[in-house]
Amino acid sequence: MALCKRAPDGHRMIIKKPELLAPAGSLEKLKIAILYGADAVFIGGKEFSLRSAASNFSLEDIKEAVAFANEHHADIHVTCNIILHNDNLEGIREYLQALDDIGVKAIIVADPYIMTLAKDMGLKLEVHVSTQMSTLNSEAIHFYQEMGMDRVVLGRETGIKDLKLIRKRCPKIDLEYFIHGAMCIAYSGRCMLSNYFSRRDANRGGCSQSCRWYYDIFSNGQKINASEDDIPFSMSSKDMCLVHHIGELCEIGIDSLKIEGRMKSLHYIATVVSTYRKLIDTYCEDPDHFKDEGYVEELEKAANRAFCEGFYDKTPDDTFQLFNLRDEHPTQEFVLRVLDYDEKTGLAMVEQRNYFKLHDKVEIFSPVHKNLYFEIDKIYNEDKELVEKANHPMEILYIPVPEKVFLNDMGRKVK
Amino acid sequence: MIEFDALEKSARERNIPVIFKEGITFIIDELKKRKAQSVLEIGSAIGYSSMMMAANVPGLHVDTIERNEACYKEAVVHIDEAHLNDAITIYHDDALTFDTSRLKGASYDVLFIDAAKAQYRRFFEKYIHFVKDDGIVIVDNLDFHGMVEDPEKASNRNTKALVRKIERFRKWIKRNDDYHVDYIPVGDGLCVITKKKHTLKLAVHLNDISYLYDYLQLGVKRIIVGGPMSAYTLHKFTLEEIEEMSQRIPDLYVMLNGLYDEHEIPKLKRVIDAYAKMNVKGLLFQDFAVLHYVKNRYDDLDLMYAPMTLNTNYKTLNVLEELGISSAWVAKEIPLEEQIEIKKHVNIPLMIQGHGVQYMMSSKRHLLQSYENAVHKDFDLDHVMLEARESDYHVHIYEDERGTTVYSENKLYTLDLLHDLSIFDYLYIETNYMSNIEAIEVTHAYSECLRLYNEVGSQEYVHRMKDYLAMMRKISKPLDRGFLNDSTLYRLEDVKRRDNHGTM
Repeated sequence: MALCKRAPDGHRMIIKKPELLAPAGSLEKLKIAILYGADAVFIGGKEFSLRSAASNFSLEDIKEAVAFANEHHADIHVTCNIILHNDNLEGIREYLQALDDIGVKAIIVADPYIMTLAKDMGLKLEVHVSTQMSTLNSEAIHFYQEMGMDRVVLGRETGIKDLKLIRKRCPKIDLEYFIHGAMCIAYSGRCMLSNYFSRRDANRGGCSQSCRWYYDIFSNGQKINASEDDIPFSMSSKDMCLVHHIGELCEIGIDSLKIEGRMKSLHYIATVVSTYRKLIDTYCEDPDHFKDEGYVEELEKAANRAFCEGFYDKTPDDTFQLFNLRDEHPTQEFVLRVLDYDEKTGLAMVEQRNYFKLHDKVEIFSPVHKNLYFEIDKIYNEDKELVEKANHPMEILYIPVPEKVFLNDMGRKVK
Repeated sequence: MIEFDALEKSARERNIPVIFKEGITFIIDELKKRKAQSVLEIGSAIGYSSMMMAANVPGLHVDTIERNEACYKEAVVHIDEAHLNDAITIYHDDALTFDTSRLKGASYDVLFIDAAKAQYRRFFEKYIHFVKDDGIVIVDNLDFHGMVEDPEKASNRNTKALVRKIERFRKWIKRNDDYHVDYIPVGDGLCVITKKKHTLKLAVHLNDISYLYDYLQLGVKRIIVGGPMSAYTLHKFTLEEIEEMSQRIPDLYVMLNGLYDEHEIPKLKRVIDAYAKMNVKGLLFQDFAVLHYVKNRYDDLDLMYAPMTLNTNYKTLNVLEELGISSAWVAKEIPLEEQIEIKKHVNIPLMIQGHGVQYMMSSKRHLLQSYENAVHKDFDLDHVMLEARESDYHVHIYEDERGTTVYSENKLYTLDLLHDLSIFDYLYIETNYMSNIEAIEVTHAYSECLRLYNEVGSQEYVHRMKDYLAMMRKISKPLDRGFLNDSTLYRLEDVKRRDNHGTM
C-alpha cells in the first residue's frame, strides 16, 4: 500500500510516488524525457542490449547521459538484456565495471549469468530482472530475491488482481510494471517467430516482428480467408495504455511505472512522459478528488497504434488486436522545437522538425505550462525574412506565439 | 600380502590421514579382479596407499599427486626404500592446478581420490577424462549414511558447509547417467563410481498411452509426458494416469513447463507435491517458481530446465546448476557446433531435440478464438495452419486453456548426425503432429541407428542408416535441418548486408 499523509486541510496525499521510467533511443530523447518529467530513463548500450536497431549508447554517450541525469536528479538504467550465446560471453565483466564506474543506477538483465556476475563483482549498481524473463508470480520473485536481485520487471501478462497479491507477498523487493507502449503478442523471450521466418534473432535485438505480418489461415486444409475481402490472420497487439489505472497502481505501491519505446520518436516521449507526469503528480497530491480528464486525449496525440489495456483486467480478446488495415493512424505531427522566446517581439525561435506552412494550426506542449493552441500567421527565416513554409529539417525559424514559451517546448500540427 | 605396518602406524601416530585397513584390502582385491594396470591417485600423503597397491598388484603402475611438501618428500623416501620407484611416479603439486599434460595422455583403470573432500567435484571433473570406459573412481563413503541425512548434526559452520558440499556431489553423481555409484560396506565404507561408456539415449514425448510398451521395447530410455498445467503438449494425462505410468516407467519425466500466474501457484505446488510422492523421476520446467519450490524440498526430483529458447550458452547453465537445476534442454535455434560447445563446458546432462516439429512461440492469448470473433466465422480449431505471406515457411497453431502455441510444419531430423550428437545425453523425439504409426516408425529408426552406433560401430551405423533414412523420409515429412547449420543475425548492419546481397 502507498505511504500517505494528511494535508493541513485534511485531504489525503500519497507521499511515495512511483518512479516514472521512460525509454530513450538517443541522447536527445533522453534529455527530453528527463525535462518532461521522467524520474528515470532506460537506455541500451551498444553491446548486450536488445533493440539493436535503436541508436544504442556508447560508453561516452552513457557518461553524458548520467551527467545530465544527475544534474536533474534523475536515474539512468542501462539494458543488458540479450540472451547470451557462446560468442557473446567475452567482455561482459569489463563492460559492467565501466557502467558502474560511470555511475549508472541500474542494469536490466535477462540472463542469470550476468545477474550473478554483477553481484559477485560487488558493483554499486542495482540489478533489475528484465521482463524478458516473463516473471509472473511471487514464487519466482522470491527466487530472484534470494539471488540478490534489487528489482523485478513483471511480465506483461500480470493482471491487477495478481499484481496486488504479488505486492503483498513480495514487500521487500522493488516491482516495476509497464503502463504504456507496444506489446509483444507472445510471452517475452519465448518467441522465435522472427528467428524461423526471417533468420533474425529476436532474443538478441533483431526481431523482425513477424507477428504483425498477414497470414493465410487454413483449417483442415481449407483456406478460411478465402476471398479477397476476407481479413487475413495476424497476431498484432494494440499498444497498451493504462492511463485510467495509474491511480490504482499508485495506491498499491508499485515502485516503478514503465513506458515502453526506445525506438519511438521524440514527440512520443515528450507527450507520453509529460502526460503521465502530470497524472501521477495530480493524483498523488489529492487522490480522493482526482478527475481522470484529458489525459488519454493527450496520449492519443502521440499514438501510432490504437490502445488497449493489455492484461490488466482480463486476458485480451480480439478487440485488443489489430486485424483490419493496420488500425494505425498517423500521429499528430511533431513539427517544431522551441529554442527561445523574445517577450518584447513575441517571437519564438524554433527548430523545424517536420514540414509546416503558413496558416497551419499548431499546439505547443511543455513540461511547465498548459498546451497552447494557435495559428501560424507569419514565418521568418534565420535572416528574419518572411517565408511561406518551413521545409528544411532542423532549420532555425521565428514565429509569433501569443504567450511565453520555453526552450524544449514542442509544437505539433493539429486540425 | 605385503604390508607396510610400520609406515601405517607411524602415519596414524602423527595424525596423517591414512586409509583404513579393510579399505585398502578391498581396493587391492578390486585391482586384481579387474587386472588393472594403472591407477591415478589424488592425495599420496606419505605414500602408504600407493605403495600397498603397487606392492600387492603385479604389473600395476601408480601415478600419484601430493600437495604437501613435507609429505611428498617423506613419500619419496619410503617409495625409494621399498624399491617401488619403477611402479610409482609421484608428483609434487596441487591436483587442482596440476598440468595434466604431464600424464602424457595416459588412461587409468582406477582413479583413487583420497584428498580434500570439499573439492571432490573439481577433482572428479578434472580427472575423469583420464579414466577408461568401465573404469572406476574410488572415493570415501561420501557420508552415504549418517551426517548428511541431518546436516544439523554437523557441529560447526565449516563442517556444515563441507557436509553440504559432499551431499551435492553425491546427488550430482547419482543423477548423472554416465556414472553408477556403489556403496561398499567395508570398514568406514567406500564408494565405487563406475564410469560407464557414454551413450546417447532416446527420450520420447508420449502422447498416447497405448503405445507405451512399444516405446519401451524399442529401447527408449526416457518417457516425457504432459499433465495438468503442462504447456506445449497436445495431450495431457491426468494425475491418476501419471501415477499409474510412474509405476511402469523407470525414467518418467513430466512437463510442468508453463509460465504461471500468481493465482495458479497454490495449484502448482499441489501438483508438484503429488509428483514427488509418485515414482516420477524429473520435471521439465521453465518458470523459476518450480525451481524455487522444489529445491531444498524434494531432493529426488530432477529439475530439467527447458525454457525452449533460452539455453544458448554454457556459462548461464553453469550458474543455473549452482542455483539448483540438474539437467537442461539445449536451445535449438543455434547451430550444432554451438550446441556441442555448450555440452563440452557443462557438467549436467543435456537433452537435444533430434526429430519432430519445432516450437516457435506461445502466447497467453487465445489467438484463434480472437480471429474467429474478429471475422465472425467458425472453424475447426484443431487442425489449423498458417502461411505467412512474406515467407514460404508454414506453421501449425493450436490453442488450449493456457493460450496459443505455434509449431513449425517442418520436422527437424538428425538420423544421419548421431555421431556428432553422441556427445549429448538424451535425444528428444517430439511426437506432436505425428500419427501414432509415424511416431513409432520414427522412434524405431532412431532406436536402431543408435543401437548400431553404440553397440556395433559407427561404420555399420553409417551403412545401415541410409536405408532407415530413406524409409523415414517417406513417412515423416516435410523435414528440415532447423538451425543446425544456421546462425541468426541480429546486428542491424548484418541484417542490412544480408538483405542487400540476398544471401546469408
